[in-house]
Amino acid sequence: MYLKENIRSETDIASSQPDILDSCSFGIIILDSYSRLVHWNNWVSKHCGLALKDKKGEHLELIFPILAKTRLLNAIDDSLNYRLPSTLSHKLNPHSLPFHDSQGKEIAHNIKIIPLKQSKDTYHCLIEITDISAVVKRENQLREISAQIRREKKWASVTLLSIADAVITTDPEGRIITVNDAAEKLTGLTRSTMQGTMIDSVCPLSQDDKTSATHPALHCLQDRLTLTDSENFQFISAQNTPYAVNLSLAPIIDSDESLLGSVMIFRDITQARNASEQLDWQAKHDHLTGLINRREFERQLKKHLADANKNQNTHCMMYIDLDQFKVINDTCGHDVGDKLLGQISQLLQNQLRQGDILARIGGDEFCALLPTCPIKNAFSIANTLRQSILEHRFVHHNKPYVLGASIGLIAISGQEQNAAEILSAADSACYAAKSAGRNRVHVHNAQGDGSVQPQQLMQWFSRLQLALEKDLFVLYAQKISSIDQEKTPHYEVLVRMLDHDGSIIPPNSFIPAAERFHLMQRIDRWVLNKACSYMSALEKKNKPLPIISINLSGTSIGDPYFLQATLDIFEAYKTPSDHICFEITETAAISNINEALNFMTAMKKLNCKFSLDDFGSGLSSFSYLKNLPVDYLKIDGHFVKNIVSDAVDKAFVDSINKIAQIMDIETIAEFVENDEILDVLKTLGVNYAQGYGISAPQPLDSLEL
Amino acid sequence: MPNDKSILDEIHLDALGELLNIGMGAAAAALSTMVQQEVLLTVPVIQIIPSTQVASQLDDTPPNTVCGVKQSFSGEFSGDALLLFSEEKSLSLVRAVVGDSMPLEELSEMEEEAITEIGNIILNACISSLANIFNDYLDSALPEYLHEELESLFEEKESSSNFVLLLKMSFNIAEQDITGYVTFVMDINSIIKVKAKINKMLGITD
Repeated sequence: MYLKENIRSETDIASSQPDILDSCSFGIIILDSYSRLVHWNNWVSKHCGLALKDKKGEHLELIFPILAKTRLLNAIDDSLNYRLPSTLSHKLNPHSLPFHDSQGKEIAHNIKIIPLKQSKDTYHCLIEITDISAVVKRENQLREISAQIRREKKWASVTLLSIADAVITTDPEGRIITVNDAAEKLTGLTRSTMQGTMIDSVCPLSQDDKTSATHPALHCLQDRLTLTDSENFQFISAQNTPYAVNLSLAPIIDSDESLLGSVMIFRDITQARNASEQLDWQAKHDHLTGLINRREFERQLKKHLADANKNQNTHCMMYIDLDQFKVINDTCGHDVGDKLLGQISQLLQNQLRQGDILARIGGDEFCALLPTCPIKNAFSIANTLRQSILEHRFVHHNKPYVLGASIGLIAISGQEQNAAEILSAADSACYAAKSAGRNRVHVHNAQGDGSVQPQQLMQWFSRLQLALEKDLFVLYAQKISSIDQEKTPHYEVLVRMLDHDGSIIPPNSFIPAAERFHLMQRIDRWVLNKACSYMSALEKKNKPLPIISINLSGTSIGDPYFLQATLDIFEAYKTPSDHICFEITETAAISNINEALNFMTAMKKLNCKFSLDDFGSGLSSFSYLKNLPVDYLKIDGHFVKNIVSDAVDKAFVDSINKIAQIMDIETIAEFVENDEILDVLKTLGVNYAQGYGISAPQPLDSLEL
Repeated sequence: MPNDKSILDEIHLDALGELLNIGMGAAAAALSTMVQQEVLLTVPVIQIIPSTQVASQLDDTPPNTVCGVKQSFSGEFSGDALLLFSEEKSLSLVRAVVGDSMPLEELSEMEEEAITEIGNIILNACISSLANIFNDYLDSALPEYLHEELESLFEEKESSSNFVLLLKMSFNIAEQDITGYVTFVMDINSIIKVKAKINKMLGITD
């Protein structure tokens, strides 16, 4: 009875204003002091699927058997018996009340249990159920996002740490936030030291050796500027070690355009830079002499050509070709040759002005560019160079060697098409210097007189080809006259070229071109053929046979095929080989000493004679003379022609002659232009004389034998 | 101002500790059932101090942001019962209890609910232990979740007449020892009443 009244009085509140409870968006259950249902609102009916009127008065644990032994029942008990309120969280009580939403999905809920005072000793209990499904969903999403962020952060931090480049991030003010291992290593500072400090205080960067006012990272933050792969920066570590660095900087900007900070990435490129500088150097320089190479020289030339064109400045360029270098290189070895080239380049460099550019552009070819230099001065400089090379004493195994230089000089007018044109013109001038007898300076003349233009050179090539095909050569002969006693007549055959109009082209016009275009061997064969044919004809006519001397170039005697060709020709003409003398220059013999000896030995078996030409002009080494099976020594005409007036030349000729006589070699003096010379030679005991004073060359066919 | 010794003697505090530990046993049993692992709750230290000293007693590493649960009670005597943890400890506790594999850096809304429930269980146990002294009930409000600085928590009660019954609590759960504090903020009259009740209970005459 008492209970009923209580229940009624409780329901009074609910029934008098049912709308209030029913309109609540949370569940309300009211239990009496025996834990029997007094009331629940619509929210509960709706979500448990039970009608209030069917369950009223029933014990809650009977309405929801699932609640047996749950904390909810304990809490209700605490509320009813001890007036203690309780709160039940979804987290710790995930499946309390069996409430479901319209889709049948369990409703996640928090429960609050509040004691309701009915009378002094009677307490009811109010159970408030809050749907927190949305909260659960939100939290799950939050956890998912958080987990994802954590993973990404982990990913990023591990990536950052293991990256080989140094990476430092800063806040918008430039204070360091993160530092990876590589950055620690490069800066020489620990992460903890760096974090929180301003980037400019621990990461000093300078650009092109000058410290810029604003640290690039701060600049990046201020102006939101990105810098990518800049290699102009130098980084000074805490240990004061400078590093060349490749630097990248980027501001970190949020999607709302606010600045979050910056990231600075840098890499030690000291080694790479050194390597690249070295490569760069190697690309521009000649490894042997340390001078710039052809490519770099052409680049400089191009620059000065442009300057000459634009500013009317006169620059000069010279092309220097060492005479006799090949001989030293071949006889003393490449190491020695290399050493000599080093000395020569130093020698040249010493004679040049500050700012002049010296390059080695080929084996023994050098080029010098003389900026802002009148041709007159350049000519004098060129002569100084030539002289200094001539005076340079190179000694190997106690033997001195003399070098010479042929120099082509050109003034850059600015009108040239390109660097190649200048180089080619200078080369031609050098070639002209060589043709004119070496050891001289030839100035290129833009009008084309004197020096051989490249076009002209090419013309020579085709003219020579044509001459060889069409037999446009003729043989001349010059008498080599015995001074002391009557001997078998001796003639040197000389090759001449016929011009298209039938005029004679002297050898110094075409021989250098033939040498240049490697046509000398063909000319030698032509000469040999003609000479043998001539001898054969004489023999058939039963005429007395003279001895004839045939000049052979270095390329011919160095070529085993030429030896075979010679034997074939002798065979073909039944040549009286004991009447054939081959003239070779000392330089040609020594340059290919082994091949030359092969040739000489083979020909000696056929009783051929050998004459060493131009002795005294080159190396004049008597020791070679000893090793070469020569029969005659031709004393260079330059000593002979002044023999009357020049005591030194006379002494020179005298000594050569004496040594030759001791070695049982007969001597021939060239350039014997008059009787006075002949008289001197006679007193010296020279065996033969040759020259205009004896007899001028005449066509071979017209010889009166 | 009477000093704390004059308010509650060692003997009173021991008696209170005894009572509270009994209550804690029940709370621990409730928690153990709920989280399905053994939870041990003990009250190793019990003190009574002026409320102004609470902050310095609880933690010595400012700023002392604490998490906790507050339940106000009234009846024979009234006050606020608070269960307090350092922020870090509250996270450890929730995670030990709930065992989330993917923890968040702060307590989530639902975790706040969970810690409120844990606090509710403990504070209910404490309140009913105190109520036992009086053979009466203490009416209690629903628990509230707290997250604020220690100083500001006791600021409003900063009257010299307020005392705090400070219980150091040790939670042992999932092989972790987590320390928390329960404070009862009471006025001097409430304390005197408590003292009288304990004296009566122990048969001591004033």
